Amino acid sequence: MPKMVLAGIEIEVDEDGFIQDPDKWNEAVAKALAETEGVTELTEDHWKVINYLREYYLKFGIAPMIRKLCKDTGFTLKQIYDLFPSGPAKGACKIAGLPKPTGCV
Amino acid sequence: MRRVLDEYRAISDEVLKPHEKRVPRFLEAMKKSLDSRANWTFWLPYVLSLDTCMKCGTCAEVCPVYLSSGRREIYHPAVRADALRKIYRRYFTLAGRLFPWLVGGEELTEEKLDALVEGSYRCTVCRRCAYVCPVAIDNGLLIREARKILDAIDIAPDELREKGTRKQLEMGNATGTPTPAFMDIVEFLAEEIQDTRGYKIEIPVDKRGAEYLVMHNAGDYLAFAETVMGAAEIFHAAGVDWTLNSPATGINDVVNYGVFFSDVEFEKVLRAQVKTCIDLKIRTLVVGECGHAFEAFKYLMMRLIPEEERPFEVKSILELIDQWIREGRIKVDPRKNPEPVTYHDACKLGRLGGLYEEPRRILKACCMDFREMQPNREMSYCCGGGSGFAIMTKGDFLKFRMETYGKIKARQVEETGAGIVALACSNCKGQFREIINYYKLPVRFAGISELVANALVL
Amino acid sequence: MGWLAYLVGIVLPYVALALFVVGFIYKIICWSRAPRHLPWELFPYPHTAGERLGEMVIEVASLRSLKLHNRNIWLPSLLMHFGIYAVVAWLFLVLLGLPVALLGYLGGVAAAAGSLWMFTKRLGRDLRILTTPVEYLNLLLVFLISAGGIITGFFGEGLAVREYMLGILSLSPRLPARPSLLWEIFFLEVFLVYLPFGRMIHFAAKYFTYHRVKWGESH
Repeated sequence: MPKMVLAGIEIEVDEDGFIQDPDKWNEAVAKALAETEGVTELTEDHWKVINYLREYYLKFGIAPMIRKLCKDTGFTLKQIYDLFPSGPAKGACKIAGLPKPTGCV
Repeated sequence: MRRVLDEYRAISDEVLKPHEKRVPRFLEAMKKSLDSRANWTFWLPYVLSLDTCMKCGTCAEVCPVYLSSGRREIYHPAVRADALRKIYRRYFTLAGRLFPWLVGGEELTEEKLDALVEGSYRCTVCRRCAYVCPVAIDNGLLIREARKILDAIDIAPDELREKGTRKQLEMGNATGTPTPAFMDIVEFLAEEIQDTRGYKIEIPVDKRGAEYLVMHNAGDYLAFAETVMGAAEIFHAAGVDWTLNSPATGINDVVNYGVFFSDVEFEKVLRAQVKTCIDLKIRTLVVGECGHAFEAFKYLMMRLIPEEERPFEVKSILELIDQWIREGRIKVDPRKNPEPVTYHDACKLGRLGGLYEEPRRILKACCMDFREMQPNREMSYCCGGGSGFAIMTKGDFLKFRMETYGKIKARQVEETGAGIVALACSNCKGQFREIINYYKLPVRFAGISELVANALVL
Repeated sequence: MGWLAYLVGIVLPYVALALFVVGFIYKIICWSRAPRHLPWELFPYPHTAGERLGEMVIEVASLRSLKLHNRNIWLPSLLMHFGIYAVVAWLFLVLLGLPVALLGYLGGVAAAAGSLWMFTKRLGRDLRILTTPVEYLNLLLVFLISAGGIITGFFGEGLAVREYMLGILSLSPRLPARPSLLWEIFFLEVFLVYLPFGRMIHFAAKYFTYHRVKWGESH
C-alpha cells in the first residue's frame, strides 16, 4: 500500500490517494488532502460538507446519498462541484478522510 | 503512472505486478480458456472469433474509440483483439508454431502482456463492431476473454473485483452499504417523496413472498436516488405487491461486475442473487435501471442456472412500466414533462438486450417532445461507461472516457436539442454525469422511472 | 516429366479431395459439437427460418455489411466474390455437361481483378496495420487460380475438364487431353487442401457465427 506524507505524518493511502485509516484524519490532513484535489483553501462551506460527510460516515459506515448530502447541507449538486471540482465522491469524500466510494456511484 | 500502451492507465502496477514472471501463467490460463469444457460458457464464439477474422477492418469503421481518437492504431478493434490472436497463433496453432511470421504469431513478452492488459480496458465491449462484422465475429468478446484470462492470473481492476464482486458477496452490495444505512436511506426516500409530491407512500423492505422484488443497482441509492424514488412511486401507483430488500437478506444489489471480466466471479454473484430471491420467496425479480444486470438475468443466466433452480420470473423495470402504461394500470400525463427529451440506448439493454421499443413507448407516453438521437437502436454509440468504465477513474482514465466515447456522445446529445437525456442504466448515468460536466452541456440526465413518476396521474 | 503429370493429374486430386473432405468435416464437427454457450445474441435478428435465409442470401449476394459500413473495400470484395461464385458455378455447369466458357472467363477476370484490387487496398494504411503475410498470400492464391484459368485456357476447355473430372469421380482417372490444363488443376488442388485450414473457410464458419452466435438460439 503506498504511503503519503500529509501534514507532516506518513499515512497509508490507496491508489487514488484516499486515506485508509479514518482515525488518522484531522483538519491538517484534510488541508493536505485538499491540495491533492486542487482545492487550495478550505472555506466554511467546504467544512460544512466535510464535517457532514464525516459524521454520517462515522455513524453509518458509508458515505451519505448525494441527495441527502445536498438536502442536509443546503447546497445544490452544482455548488458542491464548485466547492470540490472532482465531485462529491472523488473530491469531497477524499478530503473528509472517507475511503473511496465503491460500486456504481 | 508508468506508460505501457498510451497516456492512460486503467490498472495500476500494484495489480499488474510488472516485476513478476507472468507470461507462463498467462499461457497456462489461456490454454485452459481454449478447452471447450473448461470454458464452455463462450467457447464457440471465442474460437470462431480467434480463427475467422478476415481483417477487413469493418469493425474499425464503427468503433467509437477508434473513430474519436483520430484512428489511432492501438485503438483499432481488430488490432486490439489481435493482441490475443497473435498469442493464440504462436502458441496454440500448428501453422503459427511452425511459421509464426506467416500467420501473425508473436512471442508473448512481459511488456506485451502489460499492453494487452491496458488494451483490454480500452473497449467497453459495446459490441457495435460485432453487429456489423460481415463474418459476425466478435472482437468485443475477445476483449472479454482476454480479461477473463487476466482475471485467472489475478489481474483485474480493483474497482471491479476487490471492491466490486468480492465486496458485493461480502457486504450484500458493491457500495458496501450496511443494513442500518440502507434503512436510513429508504426512510429518507419516503420523506423526500412526501416533500416533493405531497403524499406519503410506504416503501416495503424485506417483505417475504411479494409479487415483485425490485432490485436496484445499489449505487442508484447513493448517486441516482431520483430513479429509486421514481420506481417506488410507480409501484405504489400500480397498486401491486412489491418490496425492496436490505443486505440482511443476502444480496440487495442487482449489479454483477463479473459480466465485465470473469465468468467465475459472475457465477458466484449470480448464484448469491438467485439464492436471495429464493429465500425471499418472491415471484418476479424486477431488474432496476441497470444494463448489464438485465443482460445477466435475462440471457447469461439461462444456461448457467437450470430453470428449476430459479423459481421466479425476471423482468426489466422498463418492460413492466411499459406494460402497465399500456394496460392503463398506471396513468401518465405527458404535459407534466414538457421539455424535449432524448433517449440514449444503453448497449446492454438495446444491442444486447433487445429493449428498443419499451423505453420509447414509455417516453412517448410520458413526455411532450421525444426526440431520437442519431444514430440509435442497434447502431447506438456506447456512452463510454460500459463494462465497468463508469466507475474506473484512476489516473487520467476519466479523460480517456471523455475524449473518446464522451466526445461522440456529447455531440449526439447536442444535435437533438433536448434538455433531458433519458437513461435506463446506472453506468450510463455515471458516464453522462461526467460528460455533461466535462463538455458543459446545457442538459440534465434523468432515469426513465424519474420521468414516469413525474408524469403520474393519481 | 511423365511422373509429374501423373502425380498432379492422377494422385494429387485424390489426396487433395481427401484432405479437403476430412478437414472440412473435421471443422464442421468441431463447431457443431461445441457445448451450448451462454446466450449472447445481438438484437435485432431474424427469427424464422425464412427470415434467416433471406438475411444470409442478401449478405452473401451483396456483402451488405461492407456496403453499409466499409464502402472502401465493398466493390473490390464484391468483384472478387462474384468472380469466385461464377467460377464455382461454371465448374458445376461443366459437370452437368453445360460448359459455358463465357461464365468461366468472366468469373476468372472478375476474381483476378477483384483480388488484385483487394491486394492494393490492403497496402493502404487502414488495412495494412491488420494484415499479416497470409492475407496477401490468400489473395495471391485467388489471383493465381483465376488468372491461371484464363491464361491456360482452362475456362474454355469445358468438355476436356468435364471428361477429366468424371474420370476422377468414377475412380478411373485419366490425364486431361491438354497437358497445359495440369497447371490449373495443380492450383485448384493447392486451394482445396488449403481451404479447410486457412481463413478462407469463413464461407462455412459464417453459418455458425450467424446462426449460433449473433442470432442466438434462445428464441
